[in-house]
Amino acid sequence: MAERESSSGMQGGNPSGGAAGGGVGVPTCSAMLYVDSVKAMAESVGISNLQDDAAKDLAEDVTYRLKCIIQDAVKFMEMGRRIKLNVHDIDHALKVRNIEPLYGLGGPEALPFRFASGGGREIHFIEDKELELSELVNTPIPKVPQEVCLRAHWLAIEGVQPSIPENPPPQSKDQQRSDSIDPTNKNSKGTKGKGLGPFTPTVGKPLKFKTSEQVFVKQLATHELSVEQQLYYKEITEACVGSDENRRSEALQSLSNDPGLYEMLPRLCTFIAEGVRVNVVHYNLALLIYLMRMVKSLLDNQTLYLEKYLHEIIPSIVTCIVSKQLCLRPDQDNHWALRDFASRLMAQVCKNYTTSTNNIQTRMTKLFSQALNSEKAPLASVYGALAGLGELGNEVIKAFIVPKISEIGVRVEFCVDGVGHSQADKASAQKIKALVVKLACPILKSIKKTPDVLEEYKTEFGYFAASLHVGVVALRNQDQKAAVVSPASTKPSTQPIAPGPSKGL
Amino acid sequence: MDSSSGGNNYGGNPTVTVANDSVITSHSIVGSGPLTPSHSQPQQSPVMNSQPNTTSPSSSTIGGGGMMPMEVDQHVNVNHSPQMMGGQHHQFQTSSSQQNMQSSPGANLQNGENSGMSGSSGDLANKMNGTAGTHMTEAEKNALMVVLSFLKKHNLKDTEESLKKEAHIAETDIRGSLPMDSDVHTVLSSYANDENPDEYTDAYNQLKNFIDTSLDSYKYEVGQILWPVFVHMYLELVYNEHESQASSFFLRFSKMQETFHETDLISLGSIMKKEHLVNSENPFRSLAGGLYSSGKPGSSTSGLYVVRMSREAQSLLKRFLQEKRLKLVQNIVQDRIHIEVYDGIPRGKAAIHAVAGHLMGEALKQDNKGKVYYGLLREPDLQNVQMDEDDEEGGAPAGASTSAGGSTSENQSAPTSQPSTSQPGAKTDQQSNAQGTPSGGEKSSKKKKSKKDWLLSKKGKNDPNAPPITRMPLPELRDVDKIEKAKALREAAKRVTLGPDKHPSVCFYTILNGDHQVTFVKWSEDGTLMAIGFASSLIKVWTMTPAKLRRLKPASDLAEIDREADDVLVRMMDDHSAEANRCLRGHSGPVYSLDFAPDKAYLLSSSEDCSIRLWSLLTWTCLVVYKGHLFPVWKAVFSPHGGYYFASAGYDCTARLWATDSYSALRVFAGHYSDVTAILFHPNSNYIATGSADRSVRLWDCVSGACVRLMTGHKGTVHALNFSADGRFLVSSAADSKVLVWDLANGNLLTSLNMHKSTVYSLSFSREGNVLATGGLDYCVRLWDFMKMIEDVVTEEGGATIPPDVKKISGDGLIIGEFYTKATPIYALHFTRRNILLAAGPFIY
Repeated sequence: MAERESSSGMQGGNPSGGAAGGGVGVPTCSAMLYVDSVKAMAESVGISNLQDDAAKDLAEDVTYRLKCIIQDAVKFMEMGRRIKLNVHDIDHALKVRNIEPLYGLGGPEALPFRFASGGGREIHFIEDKELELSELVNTPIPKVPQEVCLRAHWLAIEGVQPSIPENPPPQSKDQQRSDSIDPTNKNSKGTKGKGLGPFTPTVGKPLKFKTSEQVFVKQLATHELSVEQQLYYKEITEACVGSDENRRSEALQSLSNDPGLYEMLPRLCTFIAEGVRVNVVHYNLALLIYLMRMVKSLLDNQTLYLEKYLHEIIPSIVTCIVSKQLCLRPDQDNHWALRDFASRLMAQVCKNYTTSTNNIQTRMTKLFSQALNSEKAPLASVYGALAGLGELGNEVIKAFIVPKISEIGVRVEFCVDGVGHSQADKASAQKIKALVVKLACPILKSIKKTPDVLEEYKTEFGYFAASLHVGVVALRNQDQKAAVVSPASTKPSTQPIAPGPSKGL
Repeated sequence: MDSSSGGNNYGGNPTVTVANDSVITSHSIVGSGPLTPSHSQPQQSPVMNSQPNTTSPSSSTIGGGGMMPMEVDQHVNVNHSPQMMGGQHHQFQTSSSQQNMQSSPGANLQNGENSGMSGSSGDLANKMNGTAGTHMTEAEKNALMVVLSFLKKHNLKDTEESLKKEAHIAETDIRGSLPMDSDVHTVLSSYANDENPDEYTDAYNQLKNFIDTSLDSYKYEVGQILWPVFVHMYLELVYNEHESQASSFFLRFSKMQETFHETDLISLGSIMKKEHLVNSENPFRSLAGGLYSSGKPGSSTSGLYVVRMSREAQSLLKRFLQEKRLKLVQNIVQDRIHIEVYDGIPRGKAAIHAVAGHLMGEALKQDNKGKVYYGLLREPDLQNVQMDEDDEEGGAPAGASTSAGGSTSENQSAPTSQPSTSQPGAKTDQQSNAQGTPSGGEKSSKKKKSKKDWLLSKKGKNDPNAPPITRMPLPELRDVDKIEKAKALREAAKRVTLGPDKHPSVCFYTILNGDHQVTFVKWSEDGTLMAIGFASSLIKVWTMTPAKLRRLKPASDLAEIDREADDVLVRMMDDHSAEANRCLRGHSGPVYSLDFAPDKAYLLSSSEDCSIRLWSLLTWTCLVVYKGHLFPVWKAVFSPHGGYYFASAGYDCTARLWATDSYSALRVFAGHYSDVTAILFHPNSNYIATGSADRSVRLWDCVSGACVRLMTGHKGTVHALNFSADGRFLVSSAADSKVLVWDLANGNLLTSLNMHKSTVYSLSFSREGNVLATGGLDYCVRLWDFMKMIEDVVTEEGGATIPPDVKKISGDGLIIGEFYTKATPIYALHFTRRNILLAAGPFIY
């Protein structure tokens, strides 16, 4: 009985708070129980012909009482030091009013309301599944919840908050972002909160301005690292480019998880930029890969906002994508993997940091398509440019790669069939061909109409036509097969309450 | 579990309470029973001494959950109306306290009471006799009437007759003086009128226009009446069943009210019909109830909305009302608003806003006129004890370190060593201390000498603001207390003095797997024990030191122990029972507050199940269940002196003063208009501060029971209170996320600290009182320079009354540190004796 009351009592609690029942229109107090809801409730207890007036009176009265109870329940929530009202708060509020609490509704999770309509009526209800008793009895007993325990850490040591995982990062990502977007903001904050936080740069002692003569001096940002941080920097950089793979993965792990790296970021970025500059000259593929992995870790770190250091990071990445030679033996070493990896990093940078002011993605796209257009660019660079563009998404491929396919084809054909080309060039040509097919096929599939005629492809794409055609046809066949397997599931679900989650493709 | 854990354990019928709370006057409703501390208070070790009169030996099983050792008889129908408490003589059923009376500090008091006049009893007894004498006051008469009407209602004829006979009350008397049972109706009936409902909107609009267009200097002062006029006009419309006009009136003007009235607006908006107004306990009942006293003009202003304005502003308002002949507004201003006029320049917007927010308007001047002895009591002489301590430390270090409490150096360094991450930069004072303790015996003794000097000098001058030591009967200091105090002093010598340049270390305890159940966290005074209350009615106590929590041996084993042995305190504990944390089970509802007695032998808890429980931390069982509140008890706190008195605050709008050896409350402090949500003893135990959901803070005198300070300015439920180290200042924090600092000398608001972004649930002062730490639901611990806050007040010797200055109220530039947690709300803060700040909160996922 109690349960039913509660579940149906909520029906009218329409969150949108319509103007039904003559409620006043201030959003804070307009919620009213609908007359229809009252009637529905009456029906559920066997009173079928409730008068409209009676229903309206009841609705008003019940609304009032519900509000009183909820206001009391909020007291219990506040005293329980929560910001989320729970079922027990309502129970306690009822108890204070000498009303029997509603048993059996307490649960750790909020019960979702289901919605159903039909016959011109709309109701919200809580799903109440019937459970098989024997099944319930036979299910294994759930695990005992973990014992309550305490864990201590230093929130501050003599006024300085240590950078440990338990503490929030010294400068939150949002703050870093706002600082880099609006530097004036930072300056004003810096002068206002001078000397209060442990991480404001200390230029002398915080001055006390006794009079109104305040002089705002722009502070020189000092990037001083503590001894521990210097040690950490040394360890990390050595481990990242050293020979011990275990240490390296630990170091990379630290770079991608540690919350306190903000202060060391300028050093680390310089380290990466310098490293790439030197090693690309020496064709040291392994070191370049290690450095790119560092970039990856920094990008993955949730507490860092790299915008201020992109001028160092982006050139390094781009170098690793389009450089004409990255290794000592271009015909044997797998520098393609580095190019692919760096392309993915570039895409990640574009995705996270492009804004209307810096236009990173636009500039990158332009850069890559220039390399693609250039007649003199070595094939390795062409491959890099293709990879870089390919990671930037379908629209980019459609706009910048597809129209170029025949031109690229000419060069590749010349390399493969012509004489006097090195083994490395031949390998490049093969790689480019594979990449073009991989990137272009899904796009072509969507822009081309169904009868795929090889002749059409030949006129349009030249050298790559045959392999593209095969690829597109293969993709289409795959689609058809998938469609045959599950015809029902592709239909959009029309029922308001689906029995289970519909299986999409 | 509990026999009364069913749905109906609120004994009273709510409607009865409702009928009575509208006649609560703002102060002076107190039980005038004597305060009787006695030597028979619960002892440090129940076994070593005679059985405390409230202990039940049979209940010594661990966590004797269901067993209620002592069901305290609850006088349901008498207690639950504060009004009825007025003038009732409490029967003190403490037989042992009778025996000990001759030697107890309260003996004078009680003798004075019993034998009418005893010349020696002085001020205190006279005061008591003033209320308890043969002359029956108005309030007492009323109380009797209420009792009579109750008896009549329940058809208890014989009792009624005999009571009438005893009190010499004739039938006619009852008719004449007693408000009828349906007093709500009579109160509200004054709302009845036959005005044209359409005129209200126009009248209010005119008033609003007048205020908006008046001179800026008067605008805000006169503007204060907008809110009460709005409320009363709306209620009048509702009462006269002009529902559609009421709702359009509400719709139109509710948006123009100040933002901090929002919560009131919500409850006001839910009243839409006459029936709603009559039958419920909405907060506006108390506003309406004010009409009562307005019937006898001048007698009392309680129940009226209070507005303070300058003479110019008031005459401006008067002129306007007369000119325009706005009868509707005029009636309300005359009957339902108390305007206190003062001479002086009108206040500006900020000054008015700073003290606004209380349900019933501002505090009257007379509310805060009385003298408050806010000074501290003289520290007891500890020289002898200290000598003993020295010997102990030098002679038997082994014994000391294994003694029940654990040695002090161990205690204090332990919390710092617990954090798993050892910080390279952790050059904290404890570490240096830990090194210093074993090696530098000489050094420490030197320190002690200087400490003694300091102590003597302190003793030399007497605080002029301190209450006489005999004002409030306090229990005598026991040896255990003295040793504890000596320990504290020694620790104090080693502490770091904090300040704007010397920040504390903060050790944060995250409560894992709390599962949204944690409701309260409390440390013992010395920071060695930590208690956590849960919504599942469980209480858990942790030790913060390597010294484990042990249980007393069973009685048969205890009998075999040699009582004269030096280490008897160690021997009587059962080593097999040592655990790092222990559970206390017995409540049947969420535990809302916990407090340790100063000697750490007892724990007090209050709960939703309407009871307060006293637990022994030696046997780890419940000793007493105090049942007096009939609604959930939000807070219960011990007095700082000996743990004999305690105070509680509850849903029933009252705060109560109790003694551990008495079943019923010694005082009932009634006057708040809503739940009392925070309570704290003044450091000198003579006063109790309370904070309430009616958004006011009050200070009550334990001796007279009167409300001696009313401080308004909060805009949300008050959740935490703390007194400054010198006892002069009171800090309060509330759901409006503000922290306010009050001067108890005159009740003025000193500063408002507005940096927090959510409810502030915890306040703590550093030991020397320089730094205030605050923390709440916004995941941040903030540190404030308290010395700077009060420097203006303190330097002006003589304490000239400075009206709250707008500039000072801003609270800028006082913060000296803020430390965010990742996403853990701060439930408790506590400075250890060496000024390490402990903080705790549950891990929320």
